[in-house]
Amino acid sequence: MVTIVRVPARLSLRTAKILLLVAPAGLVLSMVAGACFLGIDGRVQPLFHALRLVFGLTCLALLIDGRTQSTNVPERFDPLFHERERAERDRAFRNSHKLIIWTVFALCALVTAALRLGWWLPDVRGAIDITIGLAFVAMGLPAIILVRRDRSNFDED
Amino acid sequence: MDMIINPPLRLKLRTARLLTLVVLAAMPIGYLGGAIWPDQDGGAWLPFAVLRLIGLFAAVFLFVDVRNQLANASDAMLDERERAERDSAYRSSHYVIVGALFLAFLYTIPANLLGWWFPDRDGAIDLLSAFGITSLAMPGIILAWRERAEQE
Repeated sequence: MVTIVRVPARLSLRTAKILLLVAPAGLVLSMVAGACFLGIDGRVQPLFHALRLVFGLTCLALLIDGRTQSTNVPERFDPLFHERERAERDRAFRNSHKLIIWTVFALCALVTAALRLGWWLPDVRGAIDITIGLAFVAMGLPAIILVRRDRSNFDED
Repeated sequence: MDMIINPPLRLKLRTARLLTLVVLAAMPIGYLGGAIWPDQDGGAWLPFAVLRLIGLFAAVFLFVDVRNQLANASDAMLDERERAERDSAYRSSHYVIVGALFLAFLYTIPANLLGWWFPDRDGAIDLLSAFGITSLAMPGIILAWRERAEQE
């Protein structure tokens, strides 16, 4: 059966793969850097606000891309997808779950070590910013995994 | 070669569901309560510490139960129906986890403006750990609630 979910956009595989690596990493890094290098008044510098906006909007655009639609639609639309598409999507969800859990425990370990060893830790506002960045990435993680695993030939695009 | 699931524990459906409720209630109350109302030393009050322990033990029982073993089993160990149920549980689990993260984020907006409570660093680590452990058990919890009683 052919997938007939209507998609707002469809990027080439190469573009999607590159952007799905750069945008989430950039979003989290700009959140961390913004919390780390505060301005003189103790607020986030405008440069980091701009970077967060650019990377955040790029992430949003990627999440409405056609390649990631199978991770966004409810289960009742499952019959619209190939069995192979469904299997790949489900595997992406399983791996995404594992990655999120490992990230949470790694963060716990990192913060505990930082508290004991006196490493840098963000203030409350910075911690919230970083959490928001991670939550956005977590939301799109199945889509990121799905596209990164896509083995279609680049030339076909 | 097909592999067989040999779980260390096979809880009754009713027991498993009861334990899931214990985890979902004891973990947030124990960890959140301990973070909001710390004792003089900055630790958790005894009732909250007891709740945390109860939640953790319940989570351990769920981890070794057959439902969680099903959730962690490889494709070769499951038939088509079991695979579909497991995959659906992981999808739902993903939505629950991300939803919880965004709810926490939504709380921070008025909390920041109105000066509501925020955890200190030790409290944040505790809350993050509780979130991680509950999320780890989430696919098994969903499977327990989706299982039909007659399968028992």
